[in-house]
Amino acid sequence: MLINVLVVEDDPMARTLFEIYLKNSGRYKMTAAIESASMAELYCLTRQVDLIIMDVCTALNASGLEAAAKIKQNHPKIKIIIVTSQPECDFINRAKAAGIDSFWYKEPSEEIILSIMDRTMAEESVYPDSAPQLKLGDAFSTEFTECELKILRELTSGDTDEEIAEYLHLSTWTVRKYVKTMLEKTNFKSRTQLAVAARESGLVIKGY
Amino acid sequence: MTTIFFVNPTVREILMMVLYILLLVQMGCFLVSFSETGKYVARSMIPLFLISFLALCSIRYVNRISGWNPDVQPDTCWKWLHSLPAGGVILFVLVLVVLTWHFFRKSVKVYQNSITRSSIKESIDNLPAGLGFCAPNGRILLANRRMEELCHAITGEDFQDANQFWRILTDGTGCEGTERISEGNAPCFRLSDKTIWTFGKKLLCVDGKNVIQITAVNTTRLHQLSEELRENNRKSEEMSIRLKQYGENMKDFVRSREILEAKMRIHNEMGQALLASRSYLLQGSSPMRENDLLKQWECVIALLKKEAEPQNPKKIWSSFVDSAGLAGVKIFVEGNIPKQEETVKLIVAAAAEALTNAVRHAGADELYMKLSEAGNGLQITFTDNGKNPDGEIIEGGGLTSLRIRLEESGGTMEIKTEPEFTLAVTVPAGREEKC
Repeated sequence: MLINVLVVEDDPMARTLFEIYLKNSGRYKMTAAIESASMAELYCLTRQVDLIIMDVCTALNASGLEAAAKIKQNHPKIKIIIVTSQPECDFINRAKAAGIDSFWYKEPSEEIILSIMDRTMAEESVYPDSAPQLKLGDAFSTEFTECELKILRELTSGDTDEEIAEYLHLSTWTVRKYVKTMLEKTNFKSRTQLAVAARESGLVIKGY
Repeated sequence: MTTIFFVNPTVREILMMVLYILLLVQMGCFLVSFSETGKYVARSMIPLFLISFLALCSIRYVNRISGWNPDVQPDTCWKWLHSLPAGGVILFVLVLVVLTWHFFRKSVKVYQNSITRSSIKESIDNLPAGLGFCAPNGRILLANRRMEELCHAITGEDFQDANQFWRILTDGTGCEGTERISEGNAPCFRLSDKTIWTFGKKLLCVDGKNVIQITAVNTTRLHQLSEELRENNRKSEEMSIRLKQYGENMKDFVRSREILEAKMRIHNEMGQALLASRSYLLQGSSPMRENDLLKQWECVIALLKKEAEPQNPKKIWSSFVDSAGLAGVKIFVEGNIPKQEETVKLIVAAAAEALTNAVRHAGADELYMKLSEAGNGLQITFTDNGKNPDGEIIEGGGLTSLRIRLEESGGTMEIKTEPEFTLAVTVPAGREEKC
């Protein structure tokens, strides 16, 4: 019996690629391919879905991680694989915390994605060891502490130190201290340069 | 040994001149030190003055008797004066000089440390700030030079009436060339020389009497720094806004980058398919390899077809309705869907949540939407054809996320269960954009 797969992906080329992979496998059937994660649960309610391949940044600014967490809560039998090309360091931790079955960084290999799908359907949880290592200025992504990354994530949205401090329940002085430390690590000259570099690299992405 | 009587008259004249000077200095020191703190110096000055005076009289006497004629014989009564050794007298005068110098320095110190009317005036005149004290009726009691200059620069008049000066500072206008920077209890003026002065007024109680103190502080540097700070803050705010816009654009940039990477993948696959085909044609065939090759080409052709499709992105709303239709749910809309992209995104987010809940909890397959204008935005009510909920609705993660998103955008969310389950949201009207 074929396994029904729901693909949630806003890139039409990537959707086609998944469709071809599933068709070629002979084990999987694509139930539907949708652009936005906000509609994913609706398909789970109205269609037979055994496995979801879910992108993180989907259309209508809907977070694939949030949708996946909700589906996992309401439909625990449905297996979910999160796929993303974004190296945001927190995505893996959030996926694990939500009980999502597997996590995969997009790459051009049919064998790898089908293998991950097979292992996931065989009750195995497949996760990469860590997020891809990036270089931000003179510093590697692994050199940043958890708290620094939280502040960096808010910094990319253009918030002031006061707004960041209020949102993260920290003092303004602490936020400034962390920003200064990050500037020293990266050797960037300004917080704007730091925020732009962080956002472009995909190390931190706010809103998904 | 030469006596004072037989010494050169010029020497006696010099000694007398020195003693005259010493007497004048000693008198000055006595007058300066004649205060509570200088009693010791003043008391010491009296014997020193008397000794110097006697010495002067003696030398004058000797000088008068001898005049310029060394043959004149001294009087017998004061003969001993004439026989005093000249060196001893000179030494004695030198001792007087040293003592006078010592007490002169003491007197200067006493003068410097004593508080007098003039010393107070001199002190406050040297202050870089303006300072003035006046009676409650405005009569000036004490004012330093700076305050007088400031009053003249601002009012064009002398500092005569403090109350009138303060009225001009707080309510009136200054002379030409001056500019008021701030009003209120701390008025601030920019003078024609571009310096900025901030004034303050304080009521003091001195010996049971009310005294008004008016101060003026040069705040030019402070204002320059404030201006610089304001300018930096403005630049920082501009940068934040640009960064926020950049963050929004970044989503499109990331998406474009993903699409480019996907296209690169396709072209790689096409290259692999071409290489495999060449190898197949050169090295002969096998049914297994033939099938793999065909699959590879099917994949490449499908992707190329997709890539070649005209880029005609669906509108957000129609795309949502199509997706709902594919999921087996019909959407009925009463009213017009707005054209603003941000508003439509919010409506679609609310509709998707309402749709999912209607299907999950009520078993509905139809969603009814009613749009109406509400203030500066739109009100949208969602109902469905499913069964009514039995009990109270508890907001789950989806509804809570929707509420947060709506409220952050300036909208509202309300859930009604009577007479039927209704989700009512308001969304702000966005800017006119493509949809």
